[in-house]
Amino acid sequence: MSAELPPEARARLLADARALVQPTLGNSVELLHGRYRLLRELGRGGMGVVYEAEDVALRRRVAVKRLALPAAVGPGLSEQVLREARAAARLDHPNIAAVYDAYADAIVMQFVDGQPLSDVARPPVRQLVAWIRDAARAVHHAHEHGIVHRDLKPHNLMVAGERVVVTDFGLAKELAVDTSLSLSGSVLGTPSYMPPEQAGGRAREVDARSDVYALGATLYDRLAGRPPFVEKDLVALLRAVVEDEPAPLRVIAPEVPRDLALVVHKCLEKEKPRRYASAAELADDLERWLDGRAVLAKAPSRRYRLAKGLRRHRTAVAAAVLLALVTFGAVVWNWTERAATAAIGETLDLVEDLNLKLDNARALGAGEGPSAMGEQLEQGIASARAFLARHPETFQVELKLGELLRESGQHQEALLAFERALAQYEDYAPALVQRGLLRAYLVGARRAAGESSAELEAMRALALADLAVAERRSHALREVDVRLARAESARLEDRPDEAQRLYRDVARIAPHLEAPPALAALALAQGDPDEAFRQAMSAVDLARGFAPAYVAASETADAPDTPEEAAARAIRQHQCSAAGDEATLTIDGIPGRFTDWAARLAEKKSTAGAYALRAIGEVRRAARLKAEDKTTEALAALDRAAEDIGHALTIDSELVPALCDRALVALERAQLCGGLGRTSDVREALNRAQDDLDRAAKLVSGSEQLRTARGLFSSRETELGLAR
Amino acid sequence: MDAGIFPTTLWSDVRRGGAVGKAREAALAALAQRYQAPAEAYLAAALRLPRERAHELFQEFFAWMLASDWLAKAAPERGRFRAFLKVALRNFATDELRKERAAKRGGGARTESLDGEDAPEVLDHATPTPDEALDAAWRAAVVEAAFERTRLALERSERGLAFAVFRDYYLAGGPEPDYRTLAARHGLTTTDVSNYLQRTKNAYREHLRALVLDTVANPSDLGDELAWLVTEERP
Repeated sequence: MSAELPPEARARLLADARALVQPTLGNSVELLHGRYRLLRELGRGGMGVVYEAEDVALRRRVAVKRLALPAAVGPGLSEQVLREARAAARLDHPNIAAVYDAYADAIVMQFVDGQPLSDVARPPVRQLVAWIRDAARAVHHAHEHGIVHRDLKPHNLMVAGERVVVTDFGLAKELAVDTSLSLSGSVLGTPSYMPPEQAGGRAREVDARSDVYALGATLYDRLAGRPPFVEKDLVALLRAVVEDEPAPLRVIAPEVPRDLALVVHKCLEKEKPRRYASAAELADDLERWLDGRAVLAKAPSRRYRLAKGLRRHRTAVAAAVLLALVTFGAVVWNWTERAATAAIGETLDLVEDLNLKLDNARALGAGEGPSAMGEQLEQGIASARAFLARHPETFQVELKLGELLRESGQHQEALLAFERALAQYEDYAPALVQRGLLRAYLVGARRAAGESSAELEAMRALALADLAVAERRSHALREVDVRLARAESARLEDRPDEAQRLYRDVARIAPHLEAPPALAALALAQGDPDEAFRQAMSAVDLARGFAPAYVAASETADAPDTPEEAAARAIRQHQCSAAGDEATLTIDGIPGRFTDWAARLAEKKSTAGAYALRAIGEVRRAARLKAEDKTTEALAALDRAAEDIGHALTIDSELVPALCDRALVALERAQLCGGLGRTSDVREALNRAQDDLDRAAKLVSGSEQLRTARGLFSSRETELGLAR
Repeated sequence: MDAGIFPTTLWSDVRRGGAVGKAREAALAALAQRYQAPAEAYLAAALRLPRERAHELFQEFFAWMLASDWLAKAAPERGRFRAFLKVALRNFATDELRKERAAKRGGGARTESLDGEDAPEVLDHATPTPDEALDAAWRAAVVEAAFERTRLALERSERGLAFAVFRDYYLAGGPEPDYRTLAARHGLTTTDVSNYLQRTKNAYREHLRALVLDTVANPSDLGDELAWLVTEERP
């Protein structure tokens, strides 16, 4: 142990460790999309979090803009993100941050080492004007490629010395595409710098001149020290943007030269034709001002001002604002105060955390038993409820609460949560799908129990109505949810062949979901017990701990005296009894029988799952032998486990859980060999573990199982590294 | 994932039921050694002992823990070594107090309740509670061990300069030193300093994570324990 550190040093080291608990920065071993190491958070906005990151492949610094979760926080986000990337990647301009790469949940951009214009205290006027001129030329370049920024503001202009870079074409909407995403598109943006056509919800009217307005508003802000409109709440702010004239710049900041103020006010005209026709014209006029020439912008005539006053139809304007607010609907809640971003960030964090808890619950179901699973769910439910007590109108959190409740078997409570989410946001597609899936599940369960009633029939109709959202709003949903909805609809409408086909689709794109149990049930209903068993086993294999998988496995055991039945029972027993350490002991006491069933399965070469099961048996055996200090025998058992997992991987080389398990087996081997002083074996085992983890990482990212395996790997490597 | 199957961290090695194997005792000894200082801080606060006496008492505590069937009882509900250690220490300290008082009263005939007047927590409200003392010392122990591991690893890899930058950055008293000062002191560019620091910081974090991992038995506890570790200490 070192000499005691001074308190300041300790505080600094602790502060530095904080990065470990920000989930996205949590594990510097883990690379985002196998390539980007997140280094620090640069900022948060309505759509996600921006990080400084390292591209380990090209060894350069990049900025990664990451959505907390694609499609989970609102409709259409991930589609919008990809659109953004497609658009911005076409731009090549020294004053526009380049886009390098795009994923469904993240955009990788050029890292600009500077500070946002919003952070520059009292910039010199000539420098400020030169920056805006250059930014306007860059924006014009984008306009020529059919892209409107839609969210220009001081925060999005990065400055370093004399250079300015326009970042975050985060809301770029390709002019050519009339998008159905305009609902969310129209609300995202910063109302203080937003042109009236955007604030009024007239998304179709947004064009190049909208960016001219935003550039003018930015210039206004930096000259006056505040945006053109300042109101205490969102409604008043939007109304002011649509309806009011901004206070004359020279009233707020008399030192601003008159000509420059004219340029700014020309940008801020309510009617687009009265603004500069293009960002290039704005740039030219700023250039004239810098050169000391006369600008083209003129003060509006008295007659015009009078006419404008008469023309204004206050009622119509107010109605437009209200309509816009209704259209904005769901997103308004988090805008109401300056704390808006904090609330969004908090919501995103919570939703991400709840998703993690859902995943954990499923993953832990097998390993730590139902009690650990329940604990995860309870924690998630408790934190969702606590959050909702503070922010009752958070439909995203209601949705997650519903999913957690459903997972923990509280179906009626789950339905109520979905109802609340939908009461706040009537057409929230993810909630409609979840409610539909739950209703469909309940209908199925009651039918299976032999019920047949008018009420059940009505519920079936309601489920089908919910699930129909998948057809209407597929862009707002995760692909897997769309397919699940279709498959469930087919099942409810008694089209089993189609349901089977659709569920296979689901299984193909998302092997961890409920498809295999459903397929097992369908196969059983169609009198194909072999297929039913195969599906049940693959359900167990892919989602150990996911209750429906075990239910399916046990239900396939109709025919007596088959190894399948026996295995299903063994698995069920394993699941039911893994409730605590005592029960684990019981399981440790039965590996012989457990392995025996699994071995008989393996002889039939039925599935990769059978091998995986036998491997588990061997691992249990190894654990017991290790506890009894029978190291050699434990090593032999580990080798058999590794071999079985190898067989499983021969059948399905992309079985991530198997890869992780084999890496863990190798780690355990390394530790045992370390104890025996067999250094070269340690190294070889560590290499093998590393190889498997690398393979797994290429197949998935963000798997909790993989993250854990890697954590254990780094822990073991450190321990053994000292002995190496 | 089948996390429950695998004897993976030191704490899960300890937790695993069944016969008391050598592996388990070794794992417990390793953990106890790492967290000896926090345990002593607890004993010192609970029994109002000087540190040297607490240091001696720790050996008794460890022997008591091995001899009693604490380990067997500990298992399932204690996902974290820190929580387990607190309970064990509390019971041990209560025992000690009881013995002490019985001796003062001149006989040990009376039976005391574990949670009654003899419980160590009620001693004094002004000084930190034993739990607080342990927590503070625990944070320090983890950070120092991670720092030490970082140092050792850098020494082994002969990247002494990287460590020198890291040390100067973290160990300087007063405000955080800026990169330019560090660059000048070590004859580096500020980019070098930034790169060195980034790498050493990452290594330090990994060591810290590995250390914490060894005190928990499943992945969800790891997150919670890390979060606890870095949460601001409140006065």
